[in-house]
Amino acid sequence: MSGPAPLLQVRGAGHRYGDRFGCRDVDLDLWPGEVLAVVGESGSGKSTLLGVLAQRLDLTEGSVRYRTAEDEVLELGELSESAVRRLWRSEWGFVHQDAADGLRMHVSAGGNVGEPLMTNGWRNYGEIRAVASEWLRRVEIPEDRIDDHPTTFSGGMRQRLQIARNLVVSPRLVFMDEPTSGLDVSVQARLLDLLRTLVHEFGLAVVIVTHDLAVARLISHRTVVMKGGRVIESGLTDRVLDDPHAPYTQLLVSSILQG
Amino acid sequence: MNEPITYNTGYLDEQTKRMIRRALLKAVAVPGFQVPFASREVPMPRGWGTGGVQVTAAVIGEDDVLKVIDQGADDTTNAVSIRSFFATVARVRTTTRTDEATLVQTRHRIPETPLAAGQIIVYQVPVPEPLRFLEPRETETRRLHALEDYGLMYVKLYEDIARYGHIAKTYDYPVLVNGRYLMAPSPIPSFDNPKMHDNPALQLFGAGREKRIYAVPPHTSVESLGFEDHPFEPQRFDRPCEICGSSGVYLDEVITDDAGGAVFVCSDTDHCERASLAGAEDEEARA
Amino acid sequence: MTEDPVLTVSAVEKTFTMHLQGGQRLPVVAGLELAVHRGECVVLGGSSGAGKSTILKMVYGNYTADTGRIVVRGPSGPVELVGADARQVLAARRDTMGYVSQFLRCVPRVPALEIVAEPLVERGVPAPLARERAAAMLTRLSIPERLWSLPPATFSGGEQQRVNIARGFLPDLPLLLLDEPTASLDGRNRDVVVGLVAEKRAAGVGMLGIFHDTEVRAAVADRVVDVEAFAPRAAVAV
Repeated sequence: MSGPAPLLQVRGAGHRYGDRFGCRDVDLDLWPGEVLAVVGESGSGKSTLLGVLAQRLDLTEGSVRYRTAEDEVLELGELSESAVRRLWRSEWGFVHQDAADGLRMHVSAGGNVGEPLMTNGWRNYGEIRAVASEWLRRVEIPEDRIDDHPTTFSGGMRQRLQIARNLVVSPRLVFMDEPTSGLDVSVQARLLDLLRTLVHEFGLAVVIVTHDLAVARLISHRTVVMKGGRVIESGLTDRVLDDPHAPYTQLLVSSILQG
Repeated sequence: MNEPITYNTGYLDEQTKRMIRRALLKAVAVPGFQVPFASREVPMPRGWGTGGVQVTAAVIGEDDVLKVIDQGADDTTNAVSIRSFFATVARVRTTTRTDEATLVQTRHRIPETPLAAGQIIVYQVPVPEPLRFLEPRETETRRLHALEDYGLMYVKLYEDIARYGHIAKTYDYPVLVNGRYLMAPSPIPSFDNPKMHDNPALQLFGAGREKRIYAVPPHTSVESLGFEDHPFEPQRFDRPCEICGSSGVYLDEVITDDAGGAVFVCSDTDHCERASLAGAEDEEARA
Repeated sequence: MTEDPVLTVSAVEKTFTMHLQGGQRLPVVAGLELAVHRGECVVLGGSSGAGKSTILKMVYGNYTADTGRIVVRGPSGPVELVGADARQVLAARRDTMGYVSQFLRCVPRVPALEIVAEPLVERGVPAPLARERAAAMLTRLSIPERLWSLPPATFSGGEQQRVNIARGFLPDLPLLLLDEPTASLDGRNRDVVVGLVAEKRAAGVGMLGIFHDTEVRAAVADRVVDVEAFAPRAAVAV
């Protein structure tokens, strides 16, 4: 199929913890502007897969290829540490489950959002502050909180701050690790709505790990179901959730609590 | 059996001096980069200038003329101790005059008298890592230096401006050396930072407890960090020294009585003494 | 109607395998054949459970067809949907086919006007114009303006369905799939929907739909395809 080339191409990816595989034989592709959900229960290997894709875990087997903004294809396992850091500064983002892991809790909101800019060489205080302020507005954090520390923010607000910090450098690919878990239901809805809008507005590619199928349905184009470290089923999200083929997928789908 | 103890020149054994000199060569070759070294025991506790003492001991020779200052003064307890220590173990001539010294060891000040080519100034450093209080992990700060990833330092400056309207650091103000390494200049007042830039002397830094040596070779660029719209501004004093009348020098506040009365006088005692003398001579000449 | 159909379905089979019920297989359709041309509204007939909804969902890509061919003819030519990858199906949904379901299923917290305008915005229509058209459609379906800025979760069933219909009928797509769109509507609003279908037909849109209400069916159908003609043989337990 013609069109833009994939952003991420994963073939036979696997990561070993000692003599056990966290994930194995994973194949997947990701295109620009696409949201891919990786679903599964605890121990399914979804977090391991995310770790491998985001280069936080070594690739024991297989290959992960990424196409940069300059249209260069990089084999991620072969990159030097400084090359990986450069990708994190300019093309990638990572939203942690616990916002405290992705923020500097004792730096102001403005400082948190401004840091990636400063790391990238921005040296004008007024401009940094203006861009930070604009992003706070986009993630619906009141602008008068720009000098407050995230320790004074609610969970949902911290998560939105983390999103702003990640998106300020306009990344092309964002990894999200259960970004809505642990938040109140109404807060989750608000956050997912925000993510949908931002993904659409900025054409982001997203790999989102979640155990919540409702989140996958709401926000992703395609879904990959994992169990025991392997991909059990994958496809269009509404197809996987409405016409599940694999036994485990059927079990997962039928287990969704219905009001 | 009453022979006096003889010390190797400079107290340290030759192997140790060699090790420190190797570290110094590396430091000079990579300006601003913190070189680890095997910090030795010297006859004073950590926190009292052992790093500076080890660097001085490694470079000092019997032809040198040594000056030692502490917060600008030649006559504080520590400056006197270290000076007499080296007078004994290195058999060197000592002086309080900056222009006569070949080697100056200093705690937390750069002399007012400009240094010249051929002079060496050795700084005592408590915390060599400029990012230490922002990032406590040594493993991480080493990576940040290697990858030239200094955003964190600018975040600190940003926070100061957001909170106080200006950058609040007035001593140990971070600098970028030779356009590459972020360096802690030691707790000298930011007033002294401009003196480090393009200085004809060799500047050496020793942190004994933290076991790091670094250097700024002569005529190297040393820029104090800032933003385009909030650039670095050294402290300024709007009054002259009450003793010698010099202006444009760093002043200490000295409390004079129990009512809180204070005077502002030169921190650099050598400069103050010579300026006063010159002032008195002028007056005599005119009289 | 000599031109190629906007939708061609041939030799399509679908069997559900219920792994949670011991692997029991549930065949739904076999050898399904149908075509929808531009400007025609084809209605799927047959009793409840015969597989009408399943057929619509297979065309939309929401369910997979086991074998056969489902070809939709869009602006860039024919697209085979059986065995297509996710991106191809998404492209077909964007450019060629729309789906109006029985119930409104939407993102929480988003105002009704935005929900209706979204399909236009996604296809590149500038937001203000999209909202204008959405407003016009909502007015036609008797959704009062005071509700436009509210999320539909608090609306009545009928109101929600009318928002759903507005959203589905707004974009200009060659093929429209309608799954019991009038089920929860009163007479007046059913008539509005009949009018919308007539307009689409006149504009050359092909439609495939399920309508239980006999009056509505009579008003909109050009042809009725009896799905029971494609029933497989009796269910086989494993």
